[in-house]
Parts: sequence; structure tokens; C-alpha cells
Amino acid sequence: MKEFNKTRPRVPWVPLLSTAQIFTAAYWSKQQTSDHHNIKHKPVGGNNTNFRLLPALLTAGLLHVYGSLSAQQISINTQNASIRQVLQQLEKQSGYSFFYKDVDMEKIRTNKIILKNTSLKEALKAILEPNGLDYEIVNKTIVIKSIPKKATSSNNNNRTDQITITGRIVDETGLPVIGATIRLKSDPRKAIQSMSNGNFSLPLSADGQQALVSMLGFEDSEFTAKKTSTGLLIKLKRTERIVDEVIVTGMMERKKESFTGATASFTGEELKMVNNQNIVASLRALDPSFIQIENNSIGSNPNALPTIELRGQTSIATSSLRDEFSSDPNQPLFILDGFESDLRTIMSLDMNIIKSATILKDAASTAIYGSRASNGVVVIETIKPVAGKVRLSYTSDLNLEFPDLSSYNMMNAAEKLEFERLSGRYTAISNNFEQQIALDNIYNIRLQNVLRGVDTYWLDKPIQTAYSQRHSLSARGGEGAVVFDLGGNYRTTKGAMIGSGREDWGANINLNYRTGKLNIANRAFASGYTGNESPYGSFSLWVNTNPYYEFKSADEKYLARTESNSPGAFLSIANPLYNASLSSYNRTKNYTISNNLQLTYSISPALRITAGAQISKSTTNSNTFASPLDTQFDEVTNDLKGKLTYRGAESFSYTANAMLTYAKVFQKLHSLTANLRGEINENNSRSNGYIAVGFPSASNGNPSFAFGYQTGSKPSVATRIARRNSIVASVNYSYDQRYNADFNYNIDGSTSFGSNNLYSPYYSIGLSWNAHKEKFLKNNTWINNLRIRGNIGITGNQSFGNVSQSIFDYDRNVNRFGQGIFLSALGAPDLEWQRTRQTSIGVDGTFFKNKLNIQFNAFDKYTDPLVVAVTLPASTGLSNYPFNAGTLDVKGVETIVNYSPIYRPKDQFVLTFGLTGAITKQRYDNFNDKLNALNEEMQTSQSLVRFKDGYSPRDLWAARSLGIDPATGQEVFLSKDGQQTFNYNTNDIVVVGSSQPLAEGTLRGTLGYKGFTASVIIRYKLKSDYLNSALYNKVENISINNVENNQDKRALYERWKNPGDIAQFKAIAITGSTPISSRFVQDENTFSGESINLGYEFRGKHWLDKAKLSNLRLSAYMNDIFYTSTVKRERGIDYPFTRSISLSLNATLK
Amino acid sequence: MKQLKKILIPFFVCAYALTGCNKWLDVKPEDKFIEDEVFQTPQGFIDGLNGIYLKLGADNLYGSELTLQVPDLLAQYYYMSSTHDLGIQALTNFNYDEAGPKNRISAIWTNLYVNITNINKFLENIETYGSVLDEQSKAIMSGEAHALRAYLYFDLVRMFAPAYTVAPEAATIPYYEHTGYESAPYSTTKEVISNVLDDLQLAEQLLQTSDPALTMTKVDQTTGTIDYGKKPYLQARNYHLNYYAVKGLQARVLLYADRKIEALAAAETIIQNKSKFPWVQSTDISDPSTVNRIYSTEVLFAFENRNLYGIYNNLYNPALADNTILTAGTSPSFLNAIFDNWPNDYRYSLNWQVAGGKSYNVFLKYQDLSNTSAPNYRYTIAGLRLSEIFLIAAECETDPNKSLAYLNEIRTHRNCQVLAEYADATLDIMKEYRREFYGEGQLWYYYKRTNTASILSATSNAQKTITTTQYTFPLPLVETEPR
Repeated sequence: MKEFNKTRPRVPWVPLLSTAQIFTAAYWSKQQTSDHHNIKHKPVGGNNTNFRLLPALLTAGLLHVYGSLSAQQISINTQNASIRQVLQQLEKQSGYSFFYKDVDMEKIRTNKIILKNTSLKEALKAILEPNGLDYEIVNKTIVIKSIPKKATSSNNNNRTDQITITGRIVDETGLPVIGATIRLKSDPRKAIQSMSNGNFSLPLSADGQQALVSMLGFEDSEFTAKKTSTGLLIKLKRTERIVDEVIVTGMMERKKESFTGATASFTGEELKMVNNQNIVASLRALDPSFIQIENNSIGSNPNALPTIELRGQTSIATSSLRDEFSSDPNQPLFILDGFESDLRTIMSLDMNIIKSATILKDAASTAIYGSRASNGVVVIETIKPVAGKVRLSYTSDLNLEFPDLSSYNMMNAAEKLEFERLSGRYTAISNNFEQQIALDNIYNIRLQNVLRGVDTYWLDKPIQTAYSQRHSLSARGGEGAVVFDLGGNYRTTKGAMIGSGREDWGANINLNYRTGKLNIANRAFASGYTGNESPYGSFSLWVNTNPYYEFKSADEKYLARTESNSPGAFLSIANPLYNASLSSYNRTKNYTISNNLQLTYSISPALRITAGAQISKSTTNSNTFASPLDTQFDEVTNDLKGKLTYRGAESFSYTANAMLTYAKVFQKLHSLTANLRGEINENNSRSNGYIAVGFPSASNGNPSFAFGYQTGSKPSVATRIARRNSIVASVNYSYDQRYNADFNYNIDGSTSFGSNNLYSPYYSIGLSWNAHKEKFLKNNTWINNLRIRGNIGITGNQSFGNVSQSIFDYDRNVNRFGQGIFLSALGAPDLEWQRTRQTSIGVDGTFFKNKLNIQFNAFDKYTDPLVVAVTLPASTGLSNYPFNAGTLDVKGVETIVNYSPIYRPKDQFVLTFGLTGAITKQRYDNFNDKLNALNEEMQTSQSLVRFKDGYSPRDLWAARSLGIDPATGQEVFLSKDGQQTFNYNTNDIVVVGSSQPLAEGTLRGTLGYKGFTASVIIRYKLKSDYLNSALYNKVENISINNVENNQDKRALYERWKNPGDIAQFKAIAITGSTPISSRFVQDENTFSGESINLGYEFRGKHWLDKAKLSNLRLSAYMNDIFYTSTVKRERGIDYPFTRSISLSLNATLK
Repeated sequence: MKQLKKILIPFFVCAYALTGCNKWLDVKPEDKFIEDEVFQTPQGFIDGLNGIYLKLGADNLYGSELTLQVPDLLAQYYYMSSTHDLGIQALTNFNYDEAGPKNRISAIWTNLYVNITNINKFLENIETYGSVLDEQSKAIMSGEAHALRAYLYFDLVRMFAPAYTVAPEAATIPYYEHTGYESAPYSTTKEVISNVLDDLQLAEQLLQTSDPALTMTKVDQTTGTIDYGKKPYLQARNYHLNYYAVKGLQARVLLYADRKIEALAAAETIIQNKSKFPWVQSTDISDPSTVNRIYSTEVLFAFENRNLYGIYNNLYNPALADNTILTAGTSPSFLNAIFDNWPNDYRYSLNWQVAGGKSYNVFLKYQDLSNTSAPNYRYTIAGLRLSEIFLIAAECETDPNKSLAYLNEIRTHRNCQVLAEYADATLDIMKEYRREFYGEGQLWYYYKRTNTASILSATSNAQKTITTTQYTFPLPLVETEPR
């Protein structure tokens, strides 16, 4: 037996298929053992796959195809070989494993065996029968034993009981563990799997032996195999995180232990513990490097997309470098199930089908994405089909949103009228007597309203408490070769503005088919949405409406109107409620169908080939219709009333890739994994649109009712074909699981690089050291895990359009000579594309029996050359033009610390406090050299002043202000040379702050007790400077036109009125524009309640059985529940922010 | 390892096939044109040249903003009620700091320079790819492009620099001859004018040998069908900056630079050829369905804007509310003042009528014709007309009799009585400017050139004082502080 007892080291990678799937493919079932004589019998599920037990299971997924027992061709020719040698040969030729007791073997005489092309069945018969031995097939392991006495052999049922040791594997909570591997310590090659109910049975021959149970995500456990009447019960302890062990890079899975990159992985459950609405909000709360830039304009609009950055910026975002179809050049790349996806899809993805999300942050983890990698990569995997009984699962998410108007500080009717009077609204511009009378008249009408007590609060008129819900249903299961997952979800979201909202739906069919060495996985999905913007329009319209107008029902077209034909007094103020009540709409509809196919073929245990393909088609239509009755068409002839703006976009894309993977362990110590991968991708986009005008009053916006196209307009069409190909080589070497090295090399070709340089190389090198595996630390009790890693590499950014050549466009107009073209973009033929050198070091550690968990990363992203599309002076005729100048350096540290003062997973009692934080500094450099080469005008040009060595893209530039002169009410500026001046001069603009916070992150507390979970996440943002646009736009800088809009109270109370006033803001009577100065830049410290979650999982309750439920889970959430900031400002200009409360119910049917 | 080879070799072959194909990656856009493809044929140049004219005739420049609106609002041509848009009121009140005027001025600056860049690029393309053109076409295109650049720079200088006579040496606007991202230094008015005149001289030389207008008996093809053929730029020369328009522009620029003798010489070249631009006849304006309100036959150079009647509907249509419409006022007193109480003046009787339910005169100059098929002068906005040449000549001519003759020639053809003698030569010429250029954006520049201290305002029907600095637009922030 000893010769068989070699432990083969684990091959250090796990293939693309999830381990759970593979394990379930084979198990040692009672059923099979009972008809062991019928060796033609196919294993359960008709699966031809045979696991060469131990090595196969451990390499997990390197599938070996062996012929059926009877078809197998065996040739043996031995003289005086020992039975072991014979069996070894058999093993080699058939791929079957043998399981036997040495005692039995001693009986064997093998004088001369000559077999030629016989089936395995016959070969075994020929070898064993003469020696008084029999065999049985246990999940295609051949168990050799003595021929039992005839009396018992006739009774199959009895014998089954006798020859197996049964048991059950459960987790800490008592739930069955499916697919755990049980193997004998004496011969680790002999192994079986636990079944869907956690049960397993070992052959009797294992009696008394030590067995080892292992399962991904659980700690290993040992037990002694012995027959008991009730069966053994083995409890497995869960390790910290399930997906911790492998890093899903979207192209290949890597073992975390030997990986050198900085990544963060979260399971679907972890993500759903933060919120039940979208994954972006969850990732933002869980990882400090994933930052959502707050957009004060869009607020909580469910149809708006957030701006996302991962580890700072790599580009100076400008629209000139982008075409209609490209995305934000600072946005990370999203990979959904192995293929590139867009932010919209990720935002509307059903949280319940997400298996895991992995953030790849640095060069070692992202270099395989080459030209798309500079902003980091977010890899999202959806739940894969799992074999077993079909399980039906249902989740319902309910959500209530309450608009948060607390940040608004608007004037009341009397204040507003007084403000208007003081700002000179009622003083005739032309000193014209006739006009003055008219203005006095208007003032008196408004004053009467105020005196009458009219004071309408318009802000709460367009908003509602919004109720949203989502229902997801899925069925998963299947046995044997085919496993499936069917799912569907529907979500209807209402927004805080009345009438705004969206509907999302999605359906998917996942099928996995496995036969022998080949595994085929196909995922087909269809999804779509309908997004509606509120007919109430922008929230700012309601904020701007004056409180001295009486609230009128939707039947009234005007709030105020003087019909008199005397030109001086004519006035008409539309009733916003009237316009909102019309049949106007703004609707976007989308349908997407995609199919992902993945083939995996194992050529040999060490070599595997994977191929994948995706085709995807999507259609998006948006229609914006303004009713002909809308007051904006009051002065327009009938044939121009009403307006429909249509835009349709279609995109079709395909991606195909193939990957060759080689993985082998040499001499137990050296493990090598190499991947070679090629990919091509084409994305075809096309959009068209038109504007139709002239609708009948009762029209619903159907363009067939339109009178014609808008005067002078023409159909707008844009098309783009973007192609990309790449070859990636990736090598990982690990010495004794202690010292690891990664190397990636990538050549990317892309249509966006321009015809002069189609290809661009990218690469990375990384090292890591698993300190806890060293002998001197192995016996240390307080270090559970300690890993140090570092890497460096070059990545790129291709979120730019092709700008190498000058582009001409047809003018939309014609004249008597016909059409004409004009220069729409000046080519930049010498432009070099951005390359970012990323350096990253980090430490992962787990200490004190898993109580303390620390991840720390430091990074440096150095972009050189930088593509600078500076906003040039308008006289160049180029709004902005890209050229290479300078570098951008982003340095930062980020940390995730979790400490569990109570860590008793056995009692299901864990209390954890967590802190995430990131400090990022961005800095321009090497501009001076480049700029010295340019002419003097260029250097002094204001547009480039901001690109100077040592400054950051997040710096705020403004003239320094010394405040308001008490004598005149004018602003006093500090010039560059320290002089006081009233004159604003753009040369005096300096850096007055930075919008980059000193630190940003979250504080977290989670408690798990039995089935109960609770978590609180609070976001903090420390020491940033904020240009307060509310102060700038609603307190000062109120133009004569905007005086008619309602304003912040501070515009009345805190502005200068009379000589001698010490005021923060300039004279109330000045309606001319105010330049941005340091007065409007404020220090910001913010705390916000990002998420509070409570959940309870019902287990082992009798009523669950009665209701045919195996599991029921309830969760409640409160998101964005509070917000405190040192800056007093309006939040949500066009759409208010909301606080939300949600409920989630998840039930799995038995 | 053999097995490995078996797999690796095809794999590399496949990989090479995928990446080796450069053609696959070289995608040309379908919805736009790339420079080196566009200018491979003469058609590219035809489209390029017409593109310049189309852009200039668009609403945001000479199609409306710089002709019908901004300079005329400043020249106090239009009546402002107290409830007219406050931004427009601020503009008529020279409050350039207010948001409304600020944005408009900023857009004018940007659009003019965008077009200059477009023209510079066109000239560069003639240099690079011009060999596909025949000699005449090349000369015409190059000549017109230089003249167009001069036209735009001259207007920039007229708007954003102090009047030449006030401060010729002030550094004012940047001057670009080439495209690129390097910003040019600020040139003085004198330098810009000198560049403008150089461009015009070059244009004159190029057009002198090639312009078909030189052999046309009448440049404007008022009616009938025109076969534009393969070289449309050889037809309808009054919609291109033709030789005479270049001469006229020279006269305009030289007068602005106070070089009256040269200005007069340039003007006389045209006056000698005035038969090519015949004065409007009573027959041209007798039929209401085809009434030629813009006197297209007299126009040396015109812009065409197919959206002109949309603009009319937004600015002058009598259906507009009282606080939106642009008129001369709610009573005819302002019109009577500028037309010297002479309602028979064609410019008054034709273009200012009580109509459309309004109780006061509305401006009809740009109203569409009811017969839209016959005339070729729809969508037309004059950029330079014969009467201005006569006014320049009248102003530059030192002999008062000759001068008065020039003025009287205009008056005769406007159905006005001739003046026996000047009451006040400057005033009489100014009044003629005021009558002639309603809705054409030239009066403001007359006031500025002569540094007039007060302007008759339609709003108050009284003189409105204006300071020298108010004649100059401030440099917009898009130039000094681009974001």
C-alpha cells in the first residue's frame, strides 16, 4: 500500500468552473454500490465522467474522459509482476482508481497475465476471479475485496448495509454541506463526495481508518471512519469568506494564496447586506478604493448613472476625446461573467443573482486587460447552476424613499419680494417713466399677494414618498450531465419626483453540460428597462417658483397673467402644475439580449483549453414629448406647437476568446500555471434621431400626428465600429506556496489608437510572500495568515475616440449651392496614447484566531504620457485639443480593518467592527519641461496655468478674496503681488483648495447572532474643500433674469445693503456676474448614514416544514438615513436626494 | 509535450490570424469624413467652401445674431418694454456684465474664431491637396477664403477692440493664420487691420483673374432657374465673396482705418461697375407676392440662412406677444423720426406696416414671400450692399458736390426727394445709414467708428448717451479663463 501512498501536491489553480459544480459531479452513492455487478450501469445522471479520484478532485475540474467499462481496451503482458504493478498498469490505462486492503492483496498470485485489447471488465475478471477476489464500482472507483459468501451475495440489500459506513456532513448551523471531499489519510487518492443532503457513504474497507474532510470555504476536519448505528455526523467550520480562496479575474481564476495582486472580493450575501437596490452602492460601502463622485445635480434620480472612480483618476476627463458611444475615461472596466459590460447594465443587475464581485485594483490583477485596465476592473459573476434537487427560490425587495429637503433654505413670500425690490427688479432700466409705472404695477400686484398672506411652499409639490418593489424567482438544479438555472426578475422603481421611475426586467437560462473532458456552459439572458423622467421637470423649476404666487390647481394655466395689451404691463407666469399635468413625457426603453457560451476541454491533467463567445444586441429608444398645450408654445404658431425628440440607438457586439492553460506541480514544490489567451471584439453602434413638431392638442406624441420636422432640423445619425483584439500571456509560479511570482504580458490592438500605431503592449510583474507558511511562523498561534505582496506594471486607457485625423462633418443646413462640410475636429496625428505605470504593495493579515483582519495597500499610478485636452482659449477655434504634456501621479493608501471582539462561529455569534479608509493624492508633474518648449503665449495662457508641476486635478482655482468692502459693497480681491484691488483679473487666480478629501471611507459594525444579523455603515469624508455652488448661484451672482427666481434666504439677509455693513456677500443691488473667488470655497467634513441593515433567517422551525420552505430570510434596510456636513448647501439641484427604507424577503422552497 | 505542440501550433496560428490583420483594425468612420479622404476630389473642396458659407449664414452668426439682432439691439433700433427679456434689455443698456449679454458675446467670439479655424484649415488643405483643382477653381477658392477670413477678423476687431480712431495701438484680439493649439499673441488693431488688408489684396489678385462676376452683366440672378452645374461656385456670385465684394470690403476697412483716399478709390471701382448691381426698381417691389424687400439686386455679398423665416417668427412676427416682438415702438414716432416723416420711402412703406393684429408698425423686411417658387432671393441677408459703397464714397469724397451726388443717388432709388445741399454732411450721411441698415447690423459700427456720443433710442424715442468704453465688448471669459 505504501507505494500508492504518494500525496500529490495540489495544482495551484482552480479552473473557470466553480468548484461546487465540479464536486457535485461525482459522489459515492448507495445506489451505485448496490448494483456493483452491473458494471455497464452508468453512474447516476448518466455521467460518463470518471474522476481519477484524488488527483482529479484536487485539480478540481481537470476532467478526464474514460471509456465505459466494457469498451475500454486493456492490454497487459506481465511475467511475475506483483499485483500492485498490474493494478498500476490497469490504473494507467483505464484511468480508474483502485481501492483495496493490503491483506487482500497478499492472496494474489499473478504468474502470467496476458491480455490484449480486452475490456476492463474482462481484465478484472481474469485477474481477480482466480484469486478469490471480487470488485465493486463505487463511483467508478474499483474497490477490490474478497468474494463474499454466497448466502450474503444473494441478498443485495443486506450487503449494502454491511459494506458502507454512512455519515452526514453539516456546517456550523446544521445545514448539509454538499460536495465535500472525504478521503482516507492513509491513501489520499481515495476520495468521495458528499451528496446533496450532506450524506456520504464510505466502503466498509475504510473501517477504522482516519479520514479527512475538505471543502472549499470550510476548514479541513478529521474523523475516524467507523460503523455506527445512526451514522457519523461531521461538522465543518466555515472559513472567513467563501470566495476568498480564489480571485476571479474575469479571464481566469487564480488562487488567492499565490496571487500577487491587490483585490477585494465580496459575496452576493455581503453585497446584499448593505442594500438591496444596486451593486454599485454596495461596493462603494465595502471598499475604500471604489469611490462614487457625488453628483449634486442628479440627486437620487433612479434613471441617472453615477460617476465612479477606482483609485483616483488617470485621465483629464474631456468630452473632445470621446465620441457619442464612449464612456467616462476614468470609469473602471466592468466585466460581467467574463465579458465587458456597461455601467447601466451593472446598475440594473438583480442583486439576487450576483454570486460575487471582485475589484481588481493594481497592475498584477488588471494587466491582462491591457488597454482597458488603467482605471481598475470590477468583475461580477452571477450564480451558476448547481447540481441537485431542483430548488425554487423567491426574493422580494420592497423599498420606500423619502425626499430629503432639509438642505434647502428658500425665502418666503415677504422675504422674496423684499429681495427683488432691493436688487432693483422694480427700477426701470432705461429710466423710462412709462416703464416705471408698469414695474410699480407689477410690484403692487405681488405686494397685495404677500399682504393677503400668500406664501406657497412649492418644494413639496412635485415630490412623493416613492414605493418600489422587485420580485425575483429562480429555479436551480439538475442532475448528472445537465444542470440548469432559470431565473426571472422584475423591478418597478418609483422616484421621489412624481412620475419618475423605471421598470427593469430580466430573464436568464443557464445550462451546464458536462461530458467527460468537455464542459459546456451557456448563459442566455434578456433584459430591458423603461425609464421615465418626471413630467414635473427639473426640481429646480419648483425651487425657483416664487412663494408669493398662490398655489393653483392644474386647470389653471397661469399663476399670474395680465392680458392688457399695453406693452409695459404684460406679464405671464406659467403654472408649473399645469405643465406637469399635460401628456408630456420623457421615456427611455431598452431591450438587450445576450448569449455567453463557454467551452472547457481538458487535454491532459495539466493542459486545458477554454473558449468563450458572446453575442449581444441591444436597442434603446428615447422619446421626449412636450405637449402642444405646454406654456412654452404659447407664442408659437399651431404648426410648431408640441415637440417630440426621438433618439434610437442600436448596438451589436461580439466577442470571442480562446485560452490555453497549463498547470503543473513539479517535485511537490514548484507549481506553475501559464495562460495564453487571445480575444477579439467588435462593437457596432448606430444611433439616429429626429425632432418632430406641430402636434394636435389631444396628441399623445405619436409622430404620425406631427405636422413636420422642426424647422431647419434634419435626422441625426451616428455610427461607430470599434474593434479590439489582444493576446495575453500570464504566468504564475509558486515555490512551496511560500514565494510566488506573477508575470503578465499583453498586446492590445484597437481601432481607437489610430492608424499609425494600432498595437500597444502592456505588462506586469508581481511577487508575494506567504509569511505564515514559513516554518518559523507556522507554530505561532497569533498569526493565522500573513501575506506580503507587491507588483508593478504598465496598463492603458482606451476610452477615447480616434483623434489622429481631422474630421469633417456635413453642416445641417443647405443653401442654393447644396450641402457643405466643416471641420468638426482637428486631428492630432502625433498623439501618443496614455500609459499608466502602476506600482502597488500590500499586506494581508489575519491574527488572533481570525479575530483581527487587516488589509493594507499602498499604490502609485503614474500616467506618462498624459493626454491633456486642455480647454484652450476660444480664439484657437478648438474647444479643447489633446496633446501630450506632463504626467499625472496618483499616490494613495487604503486599508480595510476588521476586528471581531466576539468571534464564536461555533455558537454562531460574531461581532465585528470595521474601518475602511483611503487617502489619495494626485499630482501633476513634468509639465514645465514640455511647456518650456512651447511658445511664450502658450505658457502664459490661462488654460495651462492649472497644469503646473505639483498641482492636482482636484485643485480648486479662484481669485483670492479679501471679503466685501463695507463702504461700497464690492468685493476686494488680493492680486498675485499682494495688492488689494476691486478689479477681478484672471491673472490673480491661484489654488485656493482641493476637492480631494484628506481621507474618505466607512465605519462599519456588524453583529451576527444565530439567525440574526445587523450592520451599520457610516461614511466619513474628512477635510476637503468644496466650491459651494448654492452660495455662488443662489446667494450671489444672481443675474437680473434670475432675480425672478426664488433664492436662498442668505441672499436677502447676508448681502451688503448700506455703507458700513460688514457683509459676507456683495451688494444686493449688483446683479452683474460675480467671478468665482475664495469666498465660495468652504471646508467640508461630512458624515452620512450610508446603510443600516437588520436581518433574520428562520431555520429549523416546524412551521417552515409545514410551509414547504427550507429557508426563509427577512432583511430590513435604511439607506442614506442621515447626512451632516460642515457646508450648508443645497443637495439635489435637479432631483432631490432621498432617504430610503427597504425590506427584503427571501424564501427557498423545499 | 508532443500533445502540447499539437495544440500550441494551431493556437498561435489562430492568434496570429486574429492580431496580424491590421486591416481589420483600420476602421474608417461612416458618419463623418476624414481629411485625407475628403480632399481627394474637387467635390471635397466644393463642399468645404460651401461649408464655410453655410456656417457663416447660420443663426448664431450672420444668419441672425450678427445682422438682425446684437448690433441692431445695441444701435437702439428696437423698442424694449419693461417686461421684455431682462437679458435683452441689459444688452440694449450696454450692461455687458449681465449673464444674458455675457453669454451672447462669448458665443459670438467663439463662433467667429471657430469659423476662422475652419477657413484656415481650408486654406491649408488647398496647399496640401489643391492639385486636384483646376487653376480657376483654385484661385477662386483661395481668394474667397482669404477674403472671408478678412471679413471675420474685421468684424472681430470692430466688436472687441476700441474704434481705430480711438486706440489703434491697443492690443486687442489674437490673430491666427494657421490651425493648431498654440494660442497666438494679442495683436493691436493696427496689426489686425493690416493683416485684413493683406488678405483682401491677395484675394483681389486671385479673383481678378478668375471671378466670373467680372464678365457678368448683372451679378444677381433674381429670377429664373440657375444651373449650378459641377462648379456651383461660378454661379450666384453675390452669395460668395466675389471680386466686387472684396473691393467693397476694402473700402469698408479702409474707411474704418481712416484711410479715406484709398477707401474712396476702392469704392469708385465698384461705382464704375454699378450696373452689375442695379438699384431696386419699382417693378421689383410692386407685386406683393414677390416683393423684393431686401433689394437683392443691389447686394454685393449676401448670406443665406434657410432658417430665416423661423427667425422671423421668433423676432418680428406680429403674432408674438408685446413683450417678445422686436419693433420700432408702440407708436410710429421713432420711425417718423428716422425717416424724416417721409412715409413714401421704400424702406418705410414696404418694410414697416401695421399688420397681423398689432396696433403699431411691425418689421416685415424678413417676412417670407407668399410666392415661394419664382424669386431667387428668399433666405437672403445682406452682408454688403451697393448703398454702403455710395455712403463710403460720400463720406470720403472731399468735393461736397460729388459727395452729395453719391448720397442723392441712394435717395433717388429709395423714393426720397433729393437734397439740394447738405444741411450737415455728417448728420445727413448718418441718417441715411440709419434708414438703410435696419436688420443688417451695420449702423452700430457706424456709430462706433464715428464715436457718436448719443444714439436715438427706439425705446424712449430720445437720445441715449453712450460712452467710448461701451462701444467695445469685453473679452469673454472663454478666452481669458477657459474651463
